[in-house]
Formats: sequence, C-alpha cells, structure tokens
Amino acid sequence: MSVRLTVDALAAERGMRAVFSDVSFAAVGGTLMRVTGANGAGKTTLLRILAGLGAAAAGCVEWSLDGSPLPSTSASIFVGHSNACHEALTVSENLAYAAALGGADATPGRIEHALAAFGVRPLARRRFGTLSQGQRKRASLARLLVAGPEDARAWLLDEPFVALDIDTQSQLAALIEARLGAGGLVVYTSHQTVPIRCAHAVEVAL
Amino acid sequence: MSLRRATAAVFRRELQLFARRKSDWANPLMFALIVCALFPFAVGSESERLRLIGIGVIFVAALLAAMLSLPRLFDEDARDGTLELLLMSPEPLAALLLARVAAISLVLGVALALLAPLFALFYALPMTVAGVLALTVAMAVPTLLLIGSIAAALLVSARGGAILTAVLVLPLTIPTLIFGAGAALRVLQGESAASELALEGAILLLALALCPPAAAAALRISTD
Amino acid sequence: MARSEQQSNERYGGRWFWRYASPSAFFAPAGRIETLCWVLAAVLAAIGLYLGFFVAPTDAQQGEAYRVIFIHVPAAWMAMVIYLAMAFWSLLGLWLGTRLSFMMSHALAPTGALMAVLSLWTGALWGRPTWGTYWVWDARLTSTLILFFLYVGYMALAAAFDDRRKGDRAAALIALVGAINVPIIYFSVKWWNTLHQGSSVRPGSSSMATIMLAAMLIMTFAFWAYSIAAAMHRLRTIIIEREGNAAWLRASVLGGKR
Repeated sequence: MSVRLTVDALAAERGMRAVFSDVSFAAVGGTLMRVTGANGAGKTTLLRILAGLGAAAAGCVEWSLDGSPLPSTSASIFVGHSNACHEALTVSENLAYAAALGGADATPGRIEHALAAFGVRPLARRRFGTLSQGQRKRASLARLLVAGPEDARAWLLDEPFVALDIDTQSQLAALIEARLGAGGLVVYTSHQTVPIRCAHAVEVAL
Repeated sequence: MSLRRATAAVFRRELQLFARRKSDWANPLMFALIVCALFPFAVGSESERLRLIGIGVIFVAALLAAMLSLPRLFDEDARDGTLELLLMSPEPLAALLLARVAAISLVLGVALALLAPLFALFYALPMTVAGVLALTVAMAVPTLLLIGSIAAALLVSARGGAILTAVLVLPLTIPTLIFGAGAALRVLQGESAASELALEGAILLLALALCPPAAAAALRISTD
Repeated sequence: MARSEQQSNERYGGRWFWRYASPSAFFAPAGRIETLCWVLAAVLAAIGLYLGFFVAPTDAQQGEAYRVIFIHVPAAWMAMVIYLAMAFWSLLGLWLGTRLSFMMSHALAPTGALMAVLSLWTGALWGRPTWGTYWVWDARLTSTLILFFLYVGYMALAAAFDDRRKGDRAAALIALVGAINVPIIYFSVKWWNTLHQGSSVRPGSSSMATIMLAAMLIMTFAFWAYSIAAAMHRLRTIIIEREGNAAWLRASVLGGKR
C-alpha cells in the first residue's frame, strides 16, 4: 500500500490575510517531510489543510492510495496542539472513540499495545483529567497506533515533540522511523531537532 | 459497518458523559422546574388563571432548558480537540452529528417529557393534557436540538455564545411551539389533537432530514 | 463542497456572468445603478404618494386611515423579497465562494430589516383606528415580526466573527436556513391564527379602486428602487471598507474619478 500526496500551487488565508501562496510539492510513502518556517509562516495552517480541516484559498491537495484518490480526511491522521481527549473519559475510552471515528475497530489488546509503545499502559483505565501534562501528551499520541499496522493513513504531526521528555522523544522518533520503514508517509513540524533516521527526508520551507 | 461503529461510538460517548457528569442533565431539568415555579408568583395562584397559561409556560420552559444545553454540543469538543476527530472521520459528518443529537435528545427529551406531567400538576391541568404535553415535549426537544445544532456549530468559533444562540434558534422553533402547545390546548378544550400532533411530527421529520447536513456544513465553515 | 473564489474563477473565468463577479469590476457599475435608482425612487415616490394621498378616494369603511397601506403593503412585500434576495446571494456565495455575493447579502440585510420595521410600524398606526389597538397577533404582522427576528439574527451572526471569511459564510448559511423556514413559519402562524380566532379585517382586503391599485403599484416600484439604491450604496461602502488597500480602489476613489 502506497500513499501519495500531491500539493499544487496551494495558498492559504487567515482572516483575509495571505499566509502563504504557491506551495507545491509531492511525496510518496516512506518519505519524512518536515515543514519549516518562522512563527506565523503557516505551518499549522498547511497541516490542517493537508488534513482536510481547513480550506485552501487557492490550489489543490490530492491524496491517493495505490493510485485511487482519497478524500483528505480519510487519508491522514492529524495530531495537533490539543490532546483530542475528553477529561471525563478514561484513556482507553478516549482511544476507542478516536479509533471508531477513524474507521478502525480498536480491540482492548490494540489499545494496550499502543499505550505500551509510549510507556503509559498502566494508565489505560484512568480518567484523562487526572493525568499529568506529560502523561496526557503520551496517552494522546497513542492514537497514532490504535488503528493497527494495516492502517495506511499518513501521519500529520504538528509540533509532536513539544512537552515530551527526552525518553519519549526518542520513543516517538523510533515509532516514526518504523512507520516510514513500513511505507508510511509522515509530515511534521518541529522547532526542536530530534534525530530521525530516514532514507528519504524532504524539507518544505514556508 | 464502520459507519455503524462510528455512530455507535459517538452515541455511546455522549451517554457516558451524561452518566459521569450528572449536572449536564440535572441542571437543565432544574432550570425548567424553576421557570415553571416562577410564573405563579407573577400572575397569581388561582387555578383558573394558571390553567390558562400553564401549557404555554411548560412548553416554553422545556424549550429553553433544551436550548441552554446547546453549547454542550461542540464547545467542549472544540476546546479539548476532540472536535477534530469528528471532522476528520471518513464517515459522513452529518450522520455523526445526528448520532450525537440523538443521544442528547434521548436523555433530555425523555427527562423533560417525564417532568411535564409534574409541571402540569403545578398548573392544575388535567392528566389527559399532561399526557399529551409529555408527548409533544418529547417531540419538540429533538426538533429544537436539531435546529439548534446548526447555530451551535456556527458559533463554535464566534463571540456571543448563549445569547446569540437564542436569538438565532428561538424564532425557528415557533412552528413546533405552535403545534406542540396547540395539541395540548385542543385536549384541554376536549377536542382531538390528532392534526396538531401529526404536524408537529412532520416538523420533527423535516428537521431530521435537513438539519444534520446543514449542521455539518456549519461546522466545516466555523472550524475552517 | 464549496469552492474558493479562485477555484471558481478558474472554472467560470470566461463566462458572461463572471465579468462583474469581482468587487473591482462591479464598483463603478454599482455607482451608476445607485444614482439611477435614487432618481427613480424619488420620482416614483412623489407620484405614488400624490396619487395615494390626494387622488385616491376615501375608503367607505375605514376613512382616511387606510391610506397608510400605500406605505405598509410595499414595505411588507419588500421585507419578504429582500430576504429572498439575501438568501439567493448567500447561496451563490456559498456555492462559488465569491466575495461580492456575500457583500451583496450584507448590503441587503439592513434595508430588509428596515422594511420589516416600517411594515410593523405602519401596521400599528393603521391598527389603532381600525382595530382600536396598536398591536394584534394577526398572522401577517406576526410573520413580519418573525422575519425581523431573522434579519437581526443574520446581522448579529455576521458581526460575531473576527474572521470575516467565516462570518460571511456562517451568516450565509443561517440566511438559507431562515429562507427554508420562512414558509413553514408563515403557514404555522396562519394555522395558529385561525385556531385562536384572529381578526378578520386586513389591510387591502376590501375591493380596491383602480386608482388605489395604481398608487400601490407605483409605490411598490418606488420601494424597489429605494432598496436597490440603498443596497448599492452600502455595497460600495463595504467594498471600500474591505478592499481599502487595493490599488484599483485608490486609483478610482482617491484619484478623484468616481
């Protein structure tokens, strides 16, 4: 399974002001793409447009899986600044909800496996609101893995390393590497330089 | 298959949240109760007079209580980021929103419908009227929540919150108010309420068909 | 799903209807339409009011008080028509993403609300001598009141967004929702009115003399012309406000050439 992303002459506006314009690139599965730019350059805006959460002012974004076109919202999984977890629900309830909305069936085993990858397996039955900030971040990142290995969606990560300790940073980096190795596509923004080994790394400067 | 799973997940989550946070359903009910208890102080306590205004007061109180829970639809989701999960689901957004409104309607609609006969006692209304009132409230609450979901979706990213929701939503609920209260009034006058009930049901069906897609479009606009 | 203006431009760019889709292209024609309509409105209103107030005969039942219908009825019609026009431009805007369509909607709303208020006000003035009270819950008056609420909701929503693009689209959507609801509201209010025995006397219900009808029609055209002129004026103001930095605007407004 191979994901392909083509961006052509993309432009974005925020409150009637142009944020960026004429951004074009293409990427296939196995590519690690880092979006760089100063504050306000539109990194988050770009990621949201790629995810289908925002509308472009001009240009187009096309996703395809093995040659057949996909809608933006089904092609990717987006992890932004917020944790996307409800405080009154437990960690595993939150993950099951995210998985079901993403179209996957999250078995308890999968959820535990995903939590274990970030070292927060014992927190599965805790209410999300009772966790520390670092625990919250790790539990919410586990969302990337609940859909399982056959999930072909691209990862769109907006500042994923913020608020993570060094250990978790390298855990996440290793998971990204594994994902790339399995033919996945990862687009991310980051102010930190966390080393990620990758055969095919691309940088998009805004 | 995955559509059923997604809508079931949305529905279940909403019920879970109601179960964990009792204030989410208890406060609207208390609000309706208090509104119903206020009017006798304003108009006097003679049974004749109360019976005259009772149906209208109970109905409007139920609608207002349901309206006050509209911010619950999306505001918290927008804050904690779970709204993005809904927006990015490959399943049709309208279906997911319908599942969510259905869960809230189930809880609030049933609860307010069960309270309506109690309110009817306050206003010296006969039990036959109370029964019809329960039925029409049970239809009006989902109608209001469906229409209101459009406004709530639009206002996710705007200033003005609850007041603006009321300004946008309440005028649109006038038809369901007319037929819902009208049905109870017919029964009070000893006539058949069949046509009013049918029309109120028709409005609910129309809202079921039209509102979820509109709310989905609204949500895309305001989160864009 | 809705397109952006640029995407629509790529699609419809060469077509005849697209020529005036941009604010810059429509600014000057809007000015000419505005001037023409102000003149038309003044002339038609002068003729219509003269016919209505001085030439038309006194009504046998209602005396002189009926003459308010020459303002009341056209205002009520305009309140309805302007809402439809607003919904039309909103639909176009949501579909094509054209800025000018949203601006048209915004330009129409205050005039529509004014017409609704005018119709309610004159309705009250007419009601006092006829029904003996300023307000009755007559089906038409009630519907107009609800229409006024819808206008207010539209304007309040448009103003509630800091991001103008969102405000445009959100208000457009609520205008469409309102337009779908207007007939439902109208018929349910009529139903309610018969249930609760409304008044049977209505403005214009008695058979009308030809001269009255002529005066009414002329006044209606005057109201149309006024509404278009006011909307065009507001549209130009909105264009200046929103595109104030654009070079074409500076050249055409600040350069002294209108």
